[in-house]
Amino acid sequence: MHRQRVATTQETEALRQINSFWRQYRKNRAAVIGFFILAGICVIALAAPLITWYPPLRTNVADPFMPPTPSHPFGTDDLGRDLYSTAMYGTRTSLAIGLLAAGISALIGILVGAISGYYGGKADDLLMRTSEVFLVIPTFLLALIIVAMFGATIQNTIFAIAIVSWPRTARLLRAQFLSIKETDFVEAARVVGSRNMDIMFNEILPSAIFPVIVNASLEVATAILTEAGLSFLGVGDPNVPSWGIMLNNAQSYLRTAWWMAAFPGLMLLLTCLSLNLVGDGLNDYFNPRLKER
Amino acid sequence: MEEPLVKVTNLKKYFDIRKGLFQRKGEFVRAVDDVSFEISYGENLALVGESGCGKTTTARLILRLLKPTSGTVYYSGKDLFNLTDEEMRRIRPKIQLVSQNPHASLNPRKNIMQILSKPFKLHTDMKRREIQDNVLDLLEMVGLSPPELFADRHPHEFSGGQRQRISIARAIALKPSFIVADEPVSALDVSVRAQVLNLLKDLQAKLGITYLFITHDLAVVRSVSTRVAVMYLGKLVEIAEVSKLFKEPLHPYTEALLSATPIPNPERSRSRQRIILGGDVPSPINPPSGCPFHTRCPIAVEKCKSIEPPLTKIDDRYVACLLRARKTSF
Amino acid sequence: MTSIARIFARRILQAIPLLFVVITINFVIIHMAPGDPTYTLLGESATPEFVQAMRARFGLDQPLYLQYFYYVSRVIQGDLGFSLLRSQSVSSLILERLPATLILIFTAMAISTSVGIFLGVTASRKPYSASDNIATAAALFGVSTPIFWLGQLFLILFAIYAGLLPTSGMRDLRAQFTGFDLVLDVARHLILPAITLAAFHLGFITRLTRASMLEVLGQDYMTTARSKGLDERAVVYKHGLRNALLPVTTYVGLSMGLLFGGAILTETVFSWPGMGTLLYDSLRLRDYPALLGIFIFISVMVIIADLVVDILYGVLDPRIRSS
Repeated sequence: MHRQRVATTQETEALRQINSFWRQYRKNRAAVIGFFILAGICVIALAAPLITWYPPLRTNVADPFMPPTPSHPFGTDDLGRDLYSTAMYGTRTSLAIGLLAAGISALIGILVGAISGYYGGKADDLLMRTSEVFLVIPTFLLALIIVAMFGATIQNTIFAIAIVSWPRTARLLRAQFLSIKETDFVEAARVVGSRNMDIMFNEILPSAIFPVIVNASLEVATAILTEAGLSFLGVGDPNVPSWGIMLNNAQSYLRTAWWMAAFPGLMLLLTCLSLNLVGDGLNDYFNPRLKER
Repeated sequence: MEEPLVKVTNLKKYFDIRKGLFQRKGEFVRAVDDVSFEISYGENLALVGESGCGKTTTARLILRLLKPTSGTVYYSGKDLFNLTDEEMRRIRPKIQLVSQNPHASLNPRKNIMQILSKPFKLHTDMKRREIQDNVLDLLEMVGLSPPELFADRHPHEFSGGQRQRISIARAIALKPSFIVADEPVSALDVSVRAQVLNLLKDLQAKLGITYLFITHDLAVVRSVSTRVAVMYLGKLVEIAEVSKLFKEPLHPYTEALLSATPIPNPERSRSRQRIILGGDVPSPINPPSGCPFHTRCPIAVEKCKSIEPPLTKIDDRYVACLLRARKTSF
Repeated sequence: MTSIARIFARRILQAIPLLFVVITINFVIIHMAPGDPTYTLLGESATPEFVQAMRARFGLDQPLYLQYFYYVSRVIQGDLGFSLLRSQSVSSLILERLPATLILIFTAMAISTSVGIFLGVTASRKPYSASDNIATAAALFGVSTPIFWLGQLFLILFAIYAGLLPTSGMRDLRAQFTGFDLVLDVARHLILPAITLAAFHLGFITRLTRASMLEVLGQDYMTTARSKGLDERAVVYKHGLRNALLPVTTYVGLSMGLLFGGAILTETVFSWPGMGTLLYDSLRLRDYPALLGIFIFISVMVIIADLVVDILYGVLDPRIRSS
């Protein structure tokens, strides 16, 4: 053929989109800070063995109740464990649980929301009634009961959190589907002969997913806080380094060993703060506000 | 007599209005109320009427985007509502749509290549290269040249007129026999309209397409259509060949519509008889008894209030009026 | 039926299935949890005699669907189970502890709502200014800080090191205050826990109010009000605030569930003698009947609170009334 090959490839299109995304995202300075903090935490999670020199959770690596010193930057706890390495390894626990729980919750939520919003009818009614339950009853409490009754393991924690979080995503996505499915281009897709699955996931979802993405970082933060809360109350997995358990431990020694509480909490704060900032940044990116006056 | 391409028989679509769980009133919006007509191969039938008269709903029914309350639509002899989903899918490439709003009819998240590749991906097993070539051909066919410039852009980068051409390209991708054009130029600037209308006419000649042209603008009808069907409150009131309709409209509603159409010639415009209809358009929930138009008709008489006029054939036209149906043609 | 009565009826009808769902969830958990459901329902320390005594009440040897009906009817009658470990019915355990938790929750709600709205409005008046940035930053921290750590922080700083406030409990058990002194004593003990519990919501309400005010202030009818020549403050407060507060009210109404969750954590930190500590102790003691009973109770309370807020909303907002 005489015409030149069209330059669109998947790769260049993706690069172009990432570039323009970053350029717009950059405009919110706080969001950028949040992004780098988050990146730093991810690095810690990956590089934990490299930056610590005592194994986490190993008892009696030093005297108990030592305040912060150069060799034990976060001090030691009642069993002589190095709090710094426990805290660093705790990053892995929190991020893993946060991402997995939020991920599973998002998957369920997207499926339910898409089917509900697209097909409507009885299925929609049923699913929405179900999700309403989760909006009303205290979800933290429900997750607590589930983990308490089924056993305090990481898997149960992840599933419990996912079970109580999916309705929010489902509702968000359903609302988007309800409005987008009436648009002309979706109608055009039907006229062209697309099947329902195709329309749901190839035509509607790419536009509908934005609020879910913005919500995602908040979901991760909530999941991390929930896991920490559950561990704090004593229903966390004791074999895993967790900031929540560290704080539970610290509760009995607040008077004498303030460092047992201070540092794990600080890590939690930084993680959630950065996730919230990134969430704000994403929100600004998708719904740019006009700076008035 | 040749078989018509599209045959609509006694088509009805009533929409249920329910006000919540506690009030279930059996009220309906009679959007399409017993409509029958035919479209022959190669013609351009215009379906005109004011907003809310049911023309868009009729179009959606013919495209099987809605299910009728009763009645049938035959395409090429096949009863469309009796087909399975799969069978309908296979016919879809032949019955296409160009819709009104160029800003809403193309998926904003996809680029033109992706949008125009879709019909090929769905209905053929062409390889990517072949599809790309076809898409570029399509773009040229609708006047967007050089096509490579357009292919990897997104819809929002184009003007209304260009987007409408892309819409048309999508519609003709798999060589359809029948296209429903729902107000294809109403949302475009006046200067662009003629171009798009000419494009549609050219494509008709080149590809042998039959059109159902929906519009409220009679000036458009005059320039593209061969026959006209006039709708009012969900019913057909008149069907005639374009020149005959404009020269001598039979139904009083058609007369009123024509008199309201702007005429470029200021002298003729000033000197013509303006028929101004009194009253408001009645609600399609509670249409008037007898002839739906009697509440605003300048020539209505007593029997118009109780007897619903049937769509009567007079020579080669149809009219639904108790008084005018008796007139013979000239 | 008047429209208000109709709203009332509709909301109550909507709430009833929710109650059933909560009870059902409980039932499902009892039967799906590892171990013998009988011991989950009656507690691990249930003696054979106790099980025998409960057999009729819960239909323990009946098929599953009958057990469900027994369970539902027991709960509806207010029987949330019996805690063998503490030799008390669960309902009486809960009612003992309920007032303390309610005091804590309502105080926190009051603080977070009033201060939150104030901060949000202030921040919205000069967007992106210094005061706005401080308020926004504070709100952000409020939302991101884990509640229990904040409590510990407050405890350490204000109670232990500064010695200003008590470290635990609801009142001074040694001094045995009465009357007004008692109120003051409780108030002293209440300060830290209430502020801790309020922190997250304060942050959220501030952000919500600010965003809502900004949106309202930019709208056309505000420009109309200004052009009428009204004083700036009147414009802001009279016209803007009333509309901007709608989403905030919605949030406050729905936040009961979150507040209960937060109360559990806060009470644990401060040893506040409410349902939170009851729950914490029950967790440690593995007192399953108590755990499940508390869950039902709190869920029902939240559902009722939402119902009340919804109805109030329907009464107050004319737009909803006419729908």
